[in-house]
Amino acid sequence: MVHLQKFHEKHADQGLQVFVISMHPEPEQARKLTAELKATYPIFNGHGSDLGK
Amino acid sequence: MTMYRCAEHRARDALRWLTIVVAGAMAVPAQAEFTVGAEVPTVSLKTTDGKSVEIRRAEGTVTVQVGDEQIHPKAVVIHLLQPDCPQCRAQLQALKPLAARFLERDVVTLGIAHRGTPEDARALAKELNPGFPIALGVDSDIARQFAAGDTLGIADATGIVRFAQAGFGEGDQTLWEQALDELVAGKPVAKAGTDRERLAVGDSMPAIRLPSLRNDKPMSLGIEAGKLVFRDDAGKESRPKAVIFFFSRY
Repeated sequence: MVHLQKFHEKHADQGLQVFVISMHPEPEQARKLTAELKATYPIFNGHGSDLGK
Repeated sequence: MTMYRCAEHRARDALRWLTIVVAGAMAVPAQAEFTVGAEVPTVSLKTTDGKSVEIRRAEGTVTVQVGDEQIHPKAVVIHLLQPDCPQCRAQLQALKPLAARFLERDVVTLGIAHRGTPEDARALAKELNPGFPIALGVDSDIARQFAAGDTLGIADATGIVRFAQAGFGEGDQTLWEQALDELVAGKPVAKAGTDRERLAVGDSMPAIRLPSLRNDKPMSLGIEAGKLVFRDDAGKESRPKAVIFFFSRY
């Protein structure tokens, strides 16, 4: 996720969009982690969705 | 998973561009899962309780050695895991009763912590007490080989991988049990993996409509009129030239 953030910062103005789909069973913990990592790209909450199956 | 399968050339171009970017960023080629039909990787590591553990294949037989005990098992289960990963922990717990049951039938199970610290791995082994060894695999050859994911592989008595999967989902235990039953009975494995859908280069981008993790507001990513379209959690629309999308257990 740290490397994705670097990619996001480096290439966003060239039209690259980074996304993460979080499958963490406890979204609150995932929120804390992304805040700690200072991730600024969009993060979908995918827990419980069909994407995880 | 809903997939758009129509020919969206722009999206495919974007995916190809993405592949080049990602491939260029990766210093070492790494697998996300074991390869069915390949030889089981050689392993020589220490367990969380300080014993040596080895898996090696020679002359068509797989040998597992834990401490002074040497075994020629009917099957070997290898689970590569990250100690603080929720899915890995759930998978380890799902594996625990199966490993105990099949141990009596000459099946050896080994967990390998290929990320995290030795302390993380020891804490995991103490907390979850899986009943099978957890090896310290960070910076090992097998960790480098499978740096792209957490995976479970089952090899037969000859050391050939007969079942492989990445990730973990409810119901996977049934598949492991079926594969182990077959291997112990000397039969071919009928189902060598899960039915989970995978994306490959050349596939169209899946449509994603999910809430934002940050504020629960809806976001979407998909292809409209041949172009990638993203709507963020503030309702702002953008049309990226390429996307990297990453499934995280966090």
